[in-house]
Amino acid sequence: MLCALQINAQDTFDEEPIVLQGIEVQASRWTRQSGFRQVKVDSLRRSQHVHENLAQLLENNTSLFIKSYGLGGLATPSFRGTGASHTQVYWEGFNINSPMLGQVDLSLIPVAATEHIYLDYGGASLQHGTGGLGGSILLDSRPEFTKRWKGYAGITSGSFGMRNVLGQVTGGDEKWQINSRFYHRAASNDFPFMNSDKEWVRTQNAAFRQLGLMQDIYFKSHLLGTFSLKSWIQETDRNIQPPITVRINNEQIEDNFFRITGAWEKSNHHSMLKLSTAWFRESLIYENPAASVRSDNEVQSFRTKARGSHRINDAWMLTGGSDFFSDRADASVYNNIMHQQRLSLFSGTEYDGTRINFSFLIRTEWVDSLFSGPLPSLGIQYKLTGLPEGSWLRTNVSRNFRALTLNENFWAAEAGRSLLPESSWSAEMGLEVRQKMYGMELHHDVSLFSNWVDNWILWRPGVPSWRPENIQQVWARGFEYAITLNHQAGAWGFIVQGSYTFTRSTSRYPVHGLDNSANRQLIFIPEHEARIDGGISFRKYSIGLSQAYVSTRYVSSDHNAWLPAYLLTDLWTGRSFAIRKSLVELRGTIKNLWDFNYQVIPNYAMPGRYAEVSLFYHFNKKP
Amino acid sequence: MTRRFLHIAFLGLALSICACNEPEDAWVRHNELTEEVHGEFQSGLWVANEGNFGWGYGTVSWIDLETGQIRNNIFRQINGRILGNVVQSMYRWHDRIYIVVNNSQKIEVVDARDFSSIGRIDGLISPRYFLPIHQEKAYVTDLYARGISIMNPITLQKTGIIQTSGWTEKMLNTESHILVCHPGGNEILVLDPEQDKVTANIALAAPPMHIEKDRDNYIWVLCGRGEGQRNFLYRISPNDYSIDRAFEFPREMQGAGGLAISKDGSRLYFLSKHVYTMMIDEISLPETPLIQAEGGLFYNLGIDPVQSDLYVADALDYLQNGWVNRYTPEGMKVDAYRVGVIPGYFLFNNP
Repeated sequence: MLCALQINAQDTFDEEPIVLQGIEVQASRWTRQSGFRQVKVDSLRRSQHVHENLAQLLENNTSLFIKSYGLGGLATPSFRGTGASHTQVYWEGFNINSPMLGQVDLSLIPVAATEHIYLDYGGASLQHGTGGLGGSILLDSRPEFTKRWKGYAGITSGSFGMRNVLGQVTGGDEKWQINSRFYHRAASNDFPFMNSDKEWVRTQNAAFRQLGLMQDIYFKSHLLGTFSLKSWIQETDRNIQPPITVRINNEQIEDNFFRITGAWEKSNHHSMLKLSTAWFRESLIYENPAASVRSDNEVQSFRTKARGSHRINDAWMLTGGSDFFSDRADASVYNNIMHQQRLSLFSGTEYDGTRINFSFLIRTEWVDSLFSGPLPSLGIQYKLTGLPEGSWLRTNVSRNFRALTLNENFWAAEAGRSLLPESSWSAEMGLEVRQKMYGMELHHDVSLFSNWVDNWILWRPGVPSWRPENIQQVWARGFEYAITLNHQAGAWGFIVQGSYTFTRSTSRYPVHGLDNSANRQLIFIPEHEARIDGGISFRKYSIGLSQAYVSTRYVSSDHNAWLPAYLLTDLWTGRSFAIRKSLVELRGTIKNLWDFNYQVIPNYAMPGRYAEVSLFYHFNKKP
Repeated sequence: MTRRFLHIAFLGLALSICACNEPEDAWVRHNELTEEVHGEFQSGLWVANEGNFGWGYGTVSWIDLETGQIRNNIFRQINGRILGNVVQSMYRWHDRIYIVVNNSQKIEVVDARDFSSIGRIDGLISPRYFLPIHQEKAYVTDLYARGISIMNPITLQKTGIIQTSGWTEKMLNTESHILVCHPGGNEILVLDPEQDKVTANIALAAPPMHIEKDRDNYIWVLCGRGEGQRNFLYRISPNDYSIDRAFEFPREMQGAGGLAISKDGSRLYFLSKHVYTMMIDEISLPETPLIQAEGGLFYNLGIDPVQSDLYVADALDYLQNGWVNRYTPEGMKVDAYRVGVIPGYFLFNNP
């Protein structure tokens, strides 16, 4: 759903009309490199999906393809034709990809736990760390340091036993700020589907329950700088939805973590220095009672970062920093406790001219005794004349690498094999244009990208378990286009947002003469994805429709088998009520309006038509 | 402008109405579903194609050795539904074929003449192999059940279980006993089919995965858990089940796969990345392979009990339709057939 109901906390909620807004493409100067593509998910759109998980938000609002194993099931991102482990996710600047698996299950991250969400495409991810061969997702929060308290409490109820309760309180004064968030999400996910024997049954063993608390404390002093302490605790119990070919299944996963980070930042007009550290403890317990299988996994991570920048003059700025990570994993499958240490150093420069901006960054990383070699990235952007501010022509090139995960290291050693880290070269050209015409605001963004990945790691079945292998070179390239059209006229407002992505991601060489997979699209990656969303508002009423199209995805590397394309439609409507300085918001959504039968992963049923109703109370008190 | 937007919105709504489809339209589609299947199965072999665990689609292929024609995905084409995954093994008993579908927790039973469905055995946890004992009894080994299920092969009802300490695999009927590979305990279980009891066990140094009998009734067991692990080939005496010979694989022979005995029972064929062969009376393992994998991924092998030809399954990358390569007993390639994903088991039909 691309439209969002604007809830402006500074409004007095009188008869001001609702304003529908789109995505913000520009990010702050400190987080965006010149010449690279970064997209920020609009905070207003985020608020409309606040009761959902990050996978649902991103699959409805961005060009990312989300591989989902059912409602509430594992959901991993695919950026520009790459795999799940090629997307790095950062919370408050620290990588939260599992050191064991190398990926993040986005269904476990509630939107309520995020405030600002950025997508860094391709080489843009190198400013945060290595491994984001496709890109990275950044989640962070920042205080306002004003004397104001605000927050919300909300409840969402929906089909298949969905009950979500969430809330947030944030505020303080010019020196101190706190930000508290909580959420409880639960669903039985017992939707009907047709199994492989052509019987209509309800999904069994797909229930989900999640509880989370977040607490941020900030202190700001002009003399000492800004201090922050942020913590996040979350418990998730979920059953694993079986494929449609399995009748009885009682597998379950308990996924719990505690994350805490502290930071100090001092900046002035010319310079910035930020030191931060974090400690994570994550546990994952898998149980299959029928098979008498239980697997206990615990990872503890210590991370520290230093970032600095200095502006030499109006045009030139120098940047630099270091990252140190230490991971300790205790897993049932490992014979011993596994350790991994990483040290990463980088430096760069930024040039802001009147017409041309460019950024250059070079990063190196040591993973235990392995050295990544130099990983440079260069981006250039040219300001287009005669067009409104924010219109650019851009290009970039970068080299990246992804170190082996603990599981890859372990299973390769078990098989007596040596495994090489993945490495890539990527290049991109883009055009971003903002226009105003007939009272409308238009924003276009076009990108052409190409990404060559060497030593792509694939997990293959084996005896007694799956094993990772370096398979081949993969070439992922494509085209992205996004448009936003915004119009406001008196009490009426509307927005149309559309995007189209074409991705070709192919392996380059055959295993041997009979291998029929070379130069064919990789499995599970759609060639075409398109989304179009329209919303209209009148006074305090709003209604909108979202359409998402995902093309055929091959499920065998020789293209002998495939999953059909699907087209999903969501219809939503909302009404808000102003009560003094507060706002009560009622929203309703019908998902998969036309009850379309589809699968994202073969054999994993997806729900047909279902509905959600949300009631939110927003308060905004001034002292 | 507002009116124009409303027109666009209604157009979008109208387009989305066209989206309705049938539940089966969500399922995986295959190229071979466009081919017509008809006629009975004569001289040839069925190939069980495992399909990937969970999201995969296991299938059965038919290779007609008289015409050379291949018919893939015959279960879904004939019965109109998905077979499941992982299609682990098949067993022909009279006019019935028992297809063991591991992850789908079932055994599908079809008519051997036309492959039409007769029924299914449910209530299993992770079945691996089926072995009929007589008209009222069959055994089913299991990866997770910690036991061997006892079934009635006619009524398809489960009648009992023989407790074990873990994973059980292939079985061999020696007339007096049923020998069961028990990888969970690094041993062979000796089962008395009259009492449905384990009466003895044969301790081994690695998990047994394959078991065959030669012309002198000696029992051959191939053990190992794949690459990087210790792998063994054992010859076991039929008289007292003592270990007669033990061969440990050298490090350069990676993994241990399928095991088959020639038609006359005098020669062994086994997989260890490549295909190796040795006479049953040799005292050491062969040093050079009979057939090189040459980049392929040899997954299992089988021998035509009538024509003696050797069949080797090549799973390639596990993600595409694999090949079945046909060789003479001397290792000369005769033919190759493209079948389903991860071909892993052969069932020969020689009327």
